[in-house]
Amino acid sequence: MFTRTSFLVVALSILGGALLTPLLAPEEAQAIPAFARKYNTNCMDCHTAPPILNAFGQRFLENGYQLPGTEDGGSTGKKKLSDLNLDDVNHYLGFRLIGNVTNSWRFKQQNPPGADAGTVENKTEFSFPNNFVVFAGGTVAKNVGFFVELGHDVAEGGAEVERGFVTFNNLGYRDLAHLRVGKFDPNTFSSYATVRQQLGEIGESQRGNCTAFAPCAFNRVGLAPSAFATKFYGLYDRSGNALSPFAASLFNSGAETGVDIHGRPFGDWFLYQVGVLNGSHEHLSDSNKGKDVYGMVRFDYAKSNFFSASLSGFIYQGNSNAKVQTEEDVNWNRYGLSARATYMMVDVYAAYSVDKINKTPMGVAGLFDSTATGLTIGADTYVTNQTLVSFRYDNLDAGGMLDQRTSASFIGLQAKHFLRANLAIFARGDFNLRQSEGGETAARNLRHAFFSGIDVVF
Amino acid sequence: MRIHALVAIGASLLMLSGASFVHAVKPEDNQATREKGKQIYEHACLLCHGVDGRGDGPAGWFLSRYEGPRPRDFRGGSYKFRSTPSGELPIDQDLFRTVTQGISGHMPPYSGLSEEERWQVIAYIKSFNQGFKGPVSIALLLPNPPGPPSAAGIDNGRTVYIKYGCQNCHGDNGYGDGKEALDGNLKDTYGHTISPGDLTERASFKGGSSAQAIYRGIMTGLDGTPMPSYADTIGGNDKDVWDLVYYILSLSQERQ
Amino acid sequence: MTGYHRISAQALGRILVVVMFFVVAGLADWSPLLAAPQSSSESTGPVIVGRILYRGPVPAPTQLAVNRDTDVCGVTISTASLSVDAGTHGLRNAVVHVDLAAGEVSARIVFQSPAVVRNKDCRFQPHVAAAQMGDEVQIFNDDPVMHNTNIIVENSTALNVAMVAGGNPIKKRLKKLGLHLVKCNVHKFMQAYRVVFDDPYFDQTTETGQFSISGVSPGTHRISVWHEILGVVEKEVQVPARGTVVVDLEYK
Repeated sequence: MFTRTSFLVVALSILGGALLTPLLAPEEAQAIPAFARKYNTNCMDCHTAPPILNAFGQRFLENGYQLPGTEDGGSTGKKKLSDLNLDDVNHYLGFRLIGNVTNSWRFKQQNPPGADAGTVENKTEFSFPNNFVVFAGGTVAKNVGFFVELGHDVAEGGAEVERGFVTFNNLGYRDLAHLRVGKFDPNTFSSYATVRQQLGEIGESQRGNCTAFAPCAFNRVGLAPSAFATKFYGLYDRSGNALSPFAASLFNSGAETGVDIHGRPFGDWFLYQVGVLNGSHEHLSDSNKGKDVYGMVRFDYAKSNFFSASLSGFIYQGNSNAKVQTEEDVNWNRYGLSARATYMMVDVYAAYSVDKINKTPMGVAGLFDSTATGLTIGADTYVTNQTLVSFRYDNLDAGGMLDQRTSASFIGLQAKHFLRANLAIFARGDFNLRQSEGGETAARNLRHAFFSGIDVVF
Repeated sequence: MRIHALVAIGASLLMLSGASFVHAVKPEDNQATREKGKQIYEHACLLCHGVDGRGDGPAGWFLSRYEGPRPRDFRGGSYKFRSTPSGELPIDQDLFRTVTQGISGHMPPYSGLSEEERWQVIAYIKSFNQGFKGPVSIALLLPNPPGPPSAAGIDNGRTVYIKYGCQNCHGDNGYGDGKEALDGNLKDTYGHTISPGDLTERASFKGGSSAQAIYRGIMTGLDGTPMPSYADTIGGNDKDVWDLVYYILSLSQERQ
Repeated sequence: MTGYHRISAQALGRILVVVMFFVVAGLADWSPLLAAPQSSSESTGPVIVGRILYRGPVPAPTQLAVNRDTDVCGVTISTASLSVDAGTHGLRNAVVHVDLAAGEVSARIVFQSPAVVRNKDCRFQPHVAAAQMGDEVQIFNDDPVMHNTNIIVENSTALNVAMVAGGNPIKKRLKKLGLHLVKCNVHKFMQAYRVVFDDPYFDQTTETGQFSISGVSPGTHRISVWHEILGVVEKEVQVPARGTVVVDLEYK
């Protein structure tokens, strides 16, 4: 499965983790990041397993970083200075350092330089830290909140504002409407929130030197939930950059700029969300010709017995939000369902989405499948008080250019041990269920991947 | 005549507003109040304490997962933070204090609710437990702290700490690492493992970290946990308790 | 009505003195002494007597390791939760109760002697006892080490008091019904039980498994027996207007 070197590296990193354990171990940790500091409470008030929210955390988020059932943004935990009510800075700031100490890939490399086609490559590297995130969030006044996230991707260099928005809450009457303006992740409130996952997205490896509006293959696909992914082969943003079929997009993008409103006008069982965005994949310096709109409804059951369940449906209507190889505009839409059930230590969630190009452009007629689907099923369970085991299954039935598209299925498993509430070590393995199928494409090339790393939040 | 009438009207208005002000702060515990409290409860409390007040809300499991403490069961469960003797229900002011201050490390403070809303939700919470319909528990006499702590007093506090067996759970240095804690022997009344407070860290004082709050915790105990009430066994030996309180406070630094 | 004679003032005075003496004596808490004649005078009605039997295997007493204060508590503590008389198969420390329907329960007739929980030699003594709601529980610590007496009823603390060595004894009224689990959190091997009823129709079995309950109204009643290890057994019994009815129950 592994070469000797990669085995050694993996073994060493696990041993390293084991050696760290007694140094950092027991003692119940008090809460850490900004909101826990502000309310003098524990991370687990709001999370099932950070960053996944539990029912309470979900309502806290919906309420614009105010405790559910209150409008405490102007007072709790704050200091009054003249006409300002300010939190201490450490009540606003949080940090997350996450990285795979070991990345170990096994994949069939397409035409590597100086080697024959189809060479199998094992690649093991240290890459810690992968990502360092600074986020600031909270309330500036009653019913006015903000959130800014600065991410630094160590591999790619540079820091950018990943998300940044202000919220205006409880407009009209309590829970009627909460407004977000800025750059935010649209899929924040549905049953399966894009950016809150245990098995996070892992980027793909591109073959390089891709030219505009030309097929650009990947050496290996990325590992993102299929329900959230682009799903189409041969789709480009408006500038001609190839879109990765395995990267999050549309309603499930990590961040887009726009305005969105959510609320619970009929009580706790029903949540609505509607929004308008400049367009999808704006991060590639691209806005649509027209705006994209989306809507989401969510039904909740959350009463007692340590149980909660929810079901969400969403529609995303793109407006000239992508192009095909022939540089013709398409309207790329998504229709999806997600569901989640949590009972004591077990948290199970799933999302299914259908992506549709509403009209196949003339230039690619007969060569292009305008429908694609993605299914993701995830589960987390605490096997001990400090050990979380996570599972994810993905199936992507790809669409797009018939000569390129390749469907894929993955299973991912992760064990995460919380040395303290804010410090975890993890080991993760992802397996390609369709690697034995013929063809030499990115979706087949990846055999399996192993990661071990550290996740620190403070 | 006219002036007299005006004065009379003014006076009665004042009295009326005074009366309504008193009512606004602590409403009468009646059906209408409980109904309002229910609405607040369902947004603010239900997610941890559950729809029936059993402490089994949809988010309630994660706080301590397989261990304790779980969110309070309002139906029959013991209340930790009281000013009443062990085994008794808390008085309203005890509940108000917990709702307002929260429980450090476990429950956020709900000072964002107005005073009236807090009283309303307390009226509703009390309706889960029939015991609150009986006679109101009598709070222990909780005196104000005596003058500033003396060096000799703190020395005596250390002696009392050992005599009272505090180190069995809270550890010789107050880190919450006593033998019973390390051996995993400390369980709440539900059988869940719980950890004793770290006396060197004020955020670890769940009932509050003022001298009076610590005195109250020692005297009343924390029902539902192994922490016993010392009020009866040491009755009359108030000086020792205050010395102990100041010794405990000397273990942690004041921050903020 | 012939042998009737006047009582002289002197005689009245003597009677008064005697009565006063008894009143004073009564005030001086001779309740255990007084309880005896009172309960016998009350037991003109039927009496239920019997024996609780157990013929199953009796394990040897468990030796629990003592984790602290070994100088006082010893190195091990022997617990014999299942105590059966070899000759008669009588089961000790079972609690027998006559379950009367609501309305049949007469008013409290007499307070039992105070329910005592004694911390002695790192054990609770007695190990099992029954009491009536409202009885006073008195807790003593005879040991030179600190104990706590943590009484739990259905996941709630009924009373949790520190018992500092040389500290005051505790006196509290029993306010909760049902099975009271008595624990010491300092010495985890210390455990005892109290069973509290809201009527006086209960008894606790002797070394030979015997019990006796009086004052019950005639009719068909259910007898329930609780034992800490063996659980609960029940039996219907016909109680006559007067006389003694013998009921034996056996844990199978």
